[in-house]
Amino acid sequence: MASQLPVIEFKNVCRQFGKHVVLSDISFSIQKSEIVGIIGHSGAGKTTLLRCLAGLEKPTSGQVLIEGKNITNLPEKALIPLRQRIGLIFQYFNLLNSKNVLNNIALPLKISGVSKTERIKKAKELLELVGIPDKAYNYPAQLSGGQKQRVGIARALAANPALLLCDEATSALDPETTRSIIELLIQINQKLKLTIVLITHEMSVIRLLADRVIVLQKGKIIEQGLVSKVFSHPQSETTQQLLQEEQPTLPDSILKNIHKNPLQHDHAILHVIMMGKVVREPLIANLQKNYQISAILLEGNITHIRETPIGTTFLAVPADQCQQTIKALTNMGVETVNKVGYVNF
Amino acid sequence: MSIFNLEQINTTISQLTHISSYQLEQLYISIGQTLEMTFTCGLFTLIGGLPLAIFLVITAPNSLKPAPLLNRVIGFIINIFRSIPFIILLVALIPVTRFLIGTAIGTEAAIVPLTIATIPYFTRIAEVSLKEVDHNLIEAVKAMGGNHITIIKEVLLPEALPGLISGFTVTIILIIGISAMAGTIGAGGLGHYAIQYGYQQFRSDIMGIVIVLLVIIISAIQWIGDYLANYFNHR
Repeated sequence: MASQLPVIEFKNVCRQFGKHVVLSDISFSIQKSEIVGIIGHSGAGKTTLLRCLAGLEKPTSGQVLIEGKNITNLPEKALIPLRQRIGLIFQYFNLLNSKNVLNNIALPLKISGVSKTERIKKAKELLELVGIPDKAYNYPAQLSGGQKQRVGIARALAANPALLLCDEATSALDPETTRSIIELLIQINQKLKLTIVLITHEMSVIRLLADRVIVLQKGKIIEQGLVSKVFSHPQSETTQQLLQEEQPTLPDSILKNIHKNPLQHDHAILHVIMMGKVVREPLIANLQKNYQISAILLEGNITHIRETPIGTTFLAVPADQCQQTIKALTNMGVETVNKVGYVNF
Repeated sequence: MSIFNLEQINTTISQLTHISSYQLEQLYISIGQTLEMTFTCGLFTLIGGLPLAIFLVITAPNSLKPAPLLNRVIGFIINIFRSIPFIILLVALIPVTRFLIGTAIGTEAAIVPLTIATIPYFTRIAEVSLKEVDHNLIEAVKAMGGNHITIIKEVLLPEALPGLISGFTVTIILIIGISAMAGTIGAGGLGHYAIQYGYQQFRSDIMGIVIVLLVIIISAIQWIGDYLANYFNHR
């Protein structure tokens, strides 16, 4: 069945610029109506990967398949209809200043030879979908960043693509606008069963939007899997680093006093990571009530991956109750507890 | 009795300004010649210069269809023509003009060297405007499946339009300036009129009138150019 074919498949893709290897041995596939995030530091090869996905760049070796069709050895002319299967949205929107909103959205349809009345009708429908039907005759310069990106999304959807490719699509927007664009993308994904690939350095976007994540480092995939898995238990150092900015850390005043072995009246510091139901339970109160352990909250936050809450906290407990606490927390269903060290307040 | 009685107006002007009705008639002819040279040459410059500019932009390295050698050769030829002083070009091109339109003197004949002088000038100006179009827009349309023609038609030209209009305005005004030299090959025009009736006959009043007329013509062209550039600018 055709619908069972992955929308996009990379088979051992390599891309070199001269001697410089940008992508090496990249293999992955993306199924219909999935939302996949691709993250990595700058220079990890994200942009080149995106350009290979969009058919703008050819791999040096390996194969790129779009809906089962190998595009790697196709001549430029044959690539043109395949490029229309992929809608691109950009960090800086890339709207044509010389065309009004409606004509910007209709441009992909004009390129594929749709009649004028047809394409204007479709553009108006899309404008309705992205929530700015009143801006049809405005020019891009008259719109805010969020509205421009909505036009960008409408334009990307115009030719009924199989895949929506987002290149840092929210990186130029403020947090509130970012959130509304994310909501729009989720809505489109559900309504149209559209496959979405996000390339971004914003972990929060991946967290809110993606089902799966692929982590790139120096042109290689070093980690991939469900966002909830990868983000709660990052294996590679790069992923941990990327997540670091969002993770709470102990303040310097505590960090510099940490020592390895317990002294009298010391507190043990525990790094507690939990996800799912346990986050919604009164953890500290339960420690007190059920185990008579007085835990002090030093630092912590709760984030959400789609619907799943993930809590990361630092607790301080009396040193002699350390082992007991670890056991108690594990019993309560906490994912991981690590002893960071001892400190004297 | 019409209020637009030309002879009546001419007589009135003659009396007011001490310019003979013959000189006045010649002035009208000169205005016509200047406008004819300017706009015919402007049209040909547009037809010749714009495709050349597009060619230079898309064959540049890292552009749509890189052809570095051809790009450099064409660029060099343009530089040669831009280096030759117009008065020399005017004379040097006499055989070409004669071949093309059968005569080497007169207003029509002057249009040939004028056009050949202004095409390279406008090409360079248009090239700058076209080069300024954001490369990301070209990539975006390419990613939509747009071919080169689409990119030129939907991105390069419309996005560069305000700059192209401003550049063309500057070119038109340049044509008015250098067309004064075309009097050398009997093309007439306001510049020639100013020399013949103003300078050589010591009539500073006639000189003044010509200058005022040129100021009016040039201001009008500049105003129209600015208006159109602004009209098409949606940034």
